[in-house]
Amino acid sequence: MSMFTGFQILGSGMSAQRTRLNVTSSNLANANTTRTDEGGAYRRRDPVFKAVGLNDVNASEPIANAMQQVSVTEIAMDDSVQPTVFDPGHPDADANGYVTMPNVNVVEEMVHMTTSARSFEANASAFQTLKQMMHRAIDMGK
Amino acid sequence: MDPILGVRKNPYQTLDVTSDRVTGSEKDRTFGNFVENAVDTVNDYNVQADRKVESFLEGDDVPIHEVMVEIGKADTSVRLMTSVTQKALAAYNDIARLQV
Repeated sequence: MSMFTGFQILGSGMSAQRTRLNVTSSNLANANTTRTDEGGAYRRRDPVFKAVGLNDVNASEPIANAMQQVSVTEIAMDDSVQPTVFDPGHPDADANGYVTMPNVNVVEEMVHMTTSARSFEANASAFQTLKQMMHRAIDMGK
Repeated sequence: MDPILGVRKNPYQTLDVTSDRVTGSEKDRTFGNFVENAVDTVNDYNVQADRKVESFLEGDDVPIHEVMVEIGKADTSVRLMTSVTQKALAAYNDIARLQV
């Protein structure tokens, strides 16, 4: 554990939430996308977080692996059923006039957006508090 | 508590107070070296922060929070170093003013 372990962990938390919000933007922007490179309508993306050890050789045993930072291991595809909408005039409509739409629920994505923003704020506040704690400790010498 | 990077737990730890001889490696552990090491480490943090700020301003893919994390590290280490050196200098001045 070095002086800045907390900074590193909180930084990884902020990075993860930033990625999460980016994925949410992708989902929101493509909420009505019917064409993709892999064919068919857009599939909802979901970031997968993994706790990663700090690989800190200086840390002593009880805390060496207890504190973990977060990393995004993959962006998973949501394989839930894509809804179909009856729209015979649409260029991507099938023979029966149904268009397959992305499995993105805009309201749900708004919730994800808010939770990532709040989570980012929590990490930023903890960062601020940690910094103030250290500065307070340094001021003890004055 | 774990050691602060680049700063030894106690620079005078290996000085054997029962012996009046100071060997070569112990001689290197002077206050000057200690301050030099500390300044080097603090400088490393500042250079790191500078690089992050530069690459951010140059438009590289650097998240703003990472820039602020590096600045926070540099700020804290500078504060710590100045606080320690001020304290040490004050102690030196106190001793220098001793009437013999």
